[in-house]
Amino acid sequence: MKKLFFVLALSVSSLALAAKPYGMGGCGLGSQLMGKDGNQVLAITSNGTSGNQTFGISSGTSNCVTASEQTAQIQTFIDNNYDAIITDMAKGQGETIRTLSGFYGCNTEALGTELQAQYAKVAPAQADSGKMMVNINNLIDQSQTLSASCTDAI
Amino acid sequence: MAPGIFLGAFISAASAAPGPSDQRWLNLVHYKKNLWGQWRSQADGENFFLHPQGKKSPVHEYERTKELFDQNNTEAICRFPARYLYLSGVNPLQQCKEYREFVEKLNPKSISLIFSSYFINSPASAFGHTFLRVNSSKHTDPESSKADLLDYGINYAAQMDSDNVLIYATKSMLGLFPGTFTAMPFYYKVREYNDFESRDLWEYQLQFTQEQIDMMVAHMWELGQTFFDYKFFTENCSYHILGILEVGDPSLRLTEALPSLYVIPVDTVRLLFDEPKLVGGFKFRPSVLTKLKYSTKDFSFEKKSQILSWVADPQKMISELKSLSLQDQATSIDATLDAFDFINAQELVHGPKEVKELRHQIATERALVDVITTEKVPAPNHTPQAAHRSQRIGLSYGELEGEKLLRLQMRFALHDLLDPLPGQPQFSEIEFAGLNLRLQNEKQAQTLELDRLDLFRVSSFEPVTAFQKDFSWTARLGLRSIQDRGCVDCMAGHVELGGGASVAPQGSLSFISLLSKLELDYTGAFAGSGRALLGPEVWARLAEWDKLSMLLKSGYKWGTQFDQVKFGQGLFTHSLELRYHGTQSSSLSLKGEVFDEQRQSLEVGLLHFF
Repeated sequence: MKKLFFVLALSVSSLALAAKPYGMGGCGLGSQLMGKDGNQVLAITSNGTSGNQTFGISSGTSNCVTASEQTAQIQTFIDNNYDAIITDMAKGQGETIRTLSGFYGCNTEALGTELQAQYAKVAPAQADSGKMMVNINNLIDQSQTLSASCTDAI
Repeated sequence: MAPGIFLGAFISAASAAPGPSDQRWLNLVHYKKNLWGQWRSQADGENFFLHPQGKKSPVHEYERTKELFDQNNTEAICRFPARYLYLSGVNPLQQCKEYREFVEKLNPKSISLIFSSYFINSPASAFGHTFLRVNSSKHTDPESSKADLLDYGINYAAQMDSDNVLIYATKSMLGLFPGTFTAMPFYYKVREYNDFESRDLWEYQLQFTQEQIDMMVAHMWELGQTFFDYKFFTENCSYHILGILEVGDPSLRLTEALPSLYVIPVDTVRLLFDEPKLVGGFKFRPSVLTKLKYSTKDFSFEKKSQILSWVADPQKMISELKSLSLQDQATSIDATLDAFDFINAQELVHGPKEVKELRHQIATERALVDVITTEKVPAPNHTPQAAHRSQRIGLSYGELEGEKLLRLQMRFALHDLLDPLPGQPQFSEIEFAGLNLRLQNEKQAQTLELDRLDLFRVSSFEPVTAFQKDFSWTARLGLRSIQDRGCVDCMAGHVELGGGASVAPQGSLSFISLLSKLELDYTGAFAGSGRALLGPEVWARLAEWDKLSMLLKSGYKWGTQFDQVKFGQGLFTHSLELRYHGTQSSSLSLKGEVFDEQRQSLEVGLLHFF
């Protein structure tokens, strides 16, 4: 149920998120309609090529998606969870690290430890989500423990 | 109507044969009987029906659906895969490419219902929100799931065409917005509710078979193309979410068990628990405020002030950290990050960019501390499923200035400051449609009088802490029978507005609040058709025990009639109420009130939630 008095604030927030190229159809962050008579749920698939809505999701199915889809998914995830990822990297653990380890097929603890240790490299000041993803990919490539353990690394 | 098995397909032996009067069919097309006993589908989009009479006629819609399916009409089959699955036993994944892609994206293995709790200081959100999450895993170990954030939330909400709060409120109450279903990765919801709005999320793992899950997902696909008129009080998010669950398991009687006048999300959570074995477990996902409260629970006031100064100035943090042990550095910076996120929740979404840079400095410092903190915020004992029911009736007996009286009260929703706190907003009250009648002996005659009618009463007393500087306020609109010497027993249109601040002991639900209060009474009994009362009030709640709560209100007010502003001698008013919550659904109440120097009342009563 929607709150009465908070609608204004929400609709403002939606602007910020709508500015991103892969705004998701949905309420809450601002009801970006997918088209007047569009199938809202269909939006997941019809809009699939933009990257945002094509999740292989769990590690079990991540082999089903192509490398470029995987890349798009990861970048979208990083983009939308940027602050939480920064925190989790700095702490060396957290749900977003778990999610990332799912993408790359890594051991969660190993990835968390390494991301914390290499934080300055992975998340330098003003790194955007694209840069951060490249940095994570490089980190996994260059770390012996991670490249061995991360089975789905790009 | 002859129940027919068609296409020669497999029909589960356990369930009744399909037919237009089968509950599963009625659920799939969302048919409900209206007041005159006629079937009407709640769906309002025309494309949800294959027959022109489909909205009104389960039989026509059934026959037409069957006919088109018998002709192997791909368009119909792919628009209504759940109907097809129901009628033929076959999920049309092969035939329908887009539907297949949708199912593959969701990869449904289990279903969770997510309850988003209240938004602090916004009692209008006291109703909460519910939506579903389609899990791509069995979700046997929610704490270690790698997929939760990426799994899809299925949400029902009004598609607003206006940012104006008043227009929104009016239209949503009248059902003038179309409500639609949307799907989006769960992380959007986590970022929105947990981080941006600081609302706790509760995830209820539901027990369905894979067959039932496939049916629900097929039905979600069907719902995605239509709309339902969004009705804030009845056909709202929680109502339609339950409708999906009933499609999965027609033996569930969820929407029927709801009160007919309004549906409150927290009530629907409790309903899930009324069904045996439906809820497998739950997981708590703390808001940024809950995280902050937890990470600073052992901190002194000085330490909290220090954290606050670090939020504003990370360089100060960096220099002051050096004196701490490694472990203390870690917990201090973690708390600083939590405080930063709570204080800057808006700025982190809207900018300016410098906010992100400050945050980055704090996080960079944290990464240098080689300690991995694993402490998790535990779920509070006060769960949404333990919340009291929202309708309340009461009967009390007592004396008003020497006269015996019997009081009847009825409240439609939701919660006041003395009601049991589990699962409800902790420092707020929100009441809609409260009616209060008084049966009294007056001059040897029995009279039944309206004592109060509250259209609404909303208050927020979020205590001021080192990190929260919330304003406390209260507002009330309705009718009341004035009891003070200004005009005894005069019925008046009544408006109350108050603002101030509250404080509470650390971690306690007791609080004390100081308010400036304005009361307006509109009645012809006063010159100028009304009066204003203005003055300070103290509210103090004692809530140290689960079963007992106490609220004291004391005020002093100066009054003036509307014809000329002239404040006469002031008026002391006091009230003290004690409630003992004997069972989950009933409370004993003892209430004393002083209306002026002369007039007092004392009442004892019983309140029942239903």
